[in-house]
Amino acid sequence: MLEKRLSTQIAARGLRNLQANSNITFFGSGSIAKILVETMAIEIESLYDSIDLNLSQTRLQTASGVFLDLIASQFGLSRFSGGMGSVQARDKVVRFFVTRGRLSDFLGGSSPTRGEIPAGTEIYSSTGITYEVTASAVFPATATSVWVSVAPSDVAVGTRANVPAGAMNRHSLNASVQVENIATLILGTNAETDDEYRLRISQHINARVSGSRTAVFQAAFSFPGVSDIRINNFRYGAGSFEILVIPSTARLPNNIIEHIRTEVSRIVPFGIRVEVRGPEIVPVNLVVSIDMGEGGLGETKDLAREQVKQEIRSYIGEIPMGGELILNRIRSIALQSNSAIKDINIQQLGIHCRPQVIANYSLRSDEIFDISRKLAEPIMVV
Amino acid sequence: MAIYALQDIEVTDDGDIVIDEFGEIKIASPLRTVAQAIDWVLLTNKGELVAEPSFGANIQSFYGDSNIGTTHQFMEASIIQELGMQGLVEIESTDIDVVPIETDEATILIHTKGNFLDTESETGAFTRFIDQFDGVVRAYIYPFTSGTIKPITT
Repeated sequence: MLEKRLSTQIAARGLRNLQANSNITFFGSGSIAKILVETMAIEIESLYDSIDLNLSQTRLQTASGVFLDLIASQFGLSRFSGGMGSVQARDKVVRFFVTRGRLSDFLGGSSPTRGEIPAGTEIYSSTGITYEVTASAVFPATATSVWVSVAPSDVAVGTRANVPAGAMNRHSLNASVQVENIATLILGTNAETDDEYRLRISQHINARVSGSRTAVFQAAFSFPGVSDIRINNFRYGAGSFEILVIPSTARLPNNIIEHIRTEVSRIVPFGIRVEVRGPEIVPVNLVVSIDMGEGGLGETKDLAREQVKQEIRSYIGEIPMGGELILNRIRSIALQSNSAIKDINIQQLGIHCRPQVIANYSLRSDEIFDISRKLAEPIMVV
Repeated sequence: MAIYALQDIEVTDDGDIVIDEFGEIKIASPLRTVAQAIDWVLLTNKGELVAEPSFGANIQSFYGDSNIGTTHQFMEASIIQELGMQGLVEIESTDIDVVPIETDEATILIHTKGNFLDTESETGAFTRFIDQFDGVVRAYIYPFTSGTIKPITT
């Protein structure tokens, strides 16, 4: 590493040399020789800074900004500029629904037998992010719930567009219709920071050996919403492996799995079988009753029910893969969600839409809980 | 009476380095060295030298002042203080006079007497300059309307 010298050190050494090797003897203030040496010393000091900076920018560990971009370009890499995805209706994440009557009572369509949620309908999250329905959703007149495709209105918000389960609760249509996102939405990615970029460049050096473990990891982590991956060797016999993608939320959009599969297939050698899958989804539904005592306003009770529902939904969403559903935890968070609640009783627990004994439920190592999407009201609070 | 024996790189009155007949940087005589140093002090304002921000007589600070006796006394005091502080000349044998020559201009005259080493002499003798026009004599014109001091070259 370059040892930096200050201008005073450089000048002192220069003046000592002049004193020893020339006839110049006047080095006080106002000396021409001193002024010349000091002026050059100041320039040389700034040159030391410049050399130090440029040396540091030639190394991957210390380079930043455009210098890091230059290093990356030697490996054919470029910085991710951030992006924004969308969630499709088939992913069953965002839905409009009614608790009384039918959807078509409030959202009519072009035909009397169908209703419609038009494209461009805005949905607002409690975090201040606006989403838009990207494709018109037509539903039969008898439907009480319909899944929709959505994307953030502003593509420049980055990870701020990511919202937790239940955060999307207002929309621009008839107020009698409700909206919800039953899972966390992770659609936005920020522009790659220097640290992230540096890590990717260093991994790329290993990943260039096609089919290496690092290459597989890098391919899988190129997409948003991936929390971790687990590689199960020889899952389908010799010469095979399975990639279990662990999502940041309960359910990975199908297109992400497809993208990862395509990306991994590019780097896996011929003859090797590889399967990519997400965790096994274990749908759960609950019926919970709350006791708020006699009297009280109906609105207060409705609010309390909604709060309990949101808290339970958040709790289920936070249980990791292979985790355990603990009923006492549900009782605890439900009681804490609203001070007016005196007691709580879990009346029904359903797994895979089948009633279970009301007891804690442990997942297998590749399973993850999700709110049941086959039921109109998977978390019912009465 | 002070003894002056130190030598510096020689520059012209315009500030250019002088090259001798052998193509080398010329070393100034002690007499010339003191003259150059006085020039540097007078022509430099405080803050102009990055390595020594406090160096300079700061004559520009009299820009816009009235060309009257009180101002001249302040200028003389300021110059003598700076020359003394830098240790360039012996104050007791240095005369400084600021004399008005126009309504908005004054001349600054500096005269330093003393014993100066004669570098031409092989014996290392000192030459004694004590007469009125001997020793180091520097003159400058200071226009109060611009505040930019100019040396009078011969």
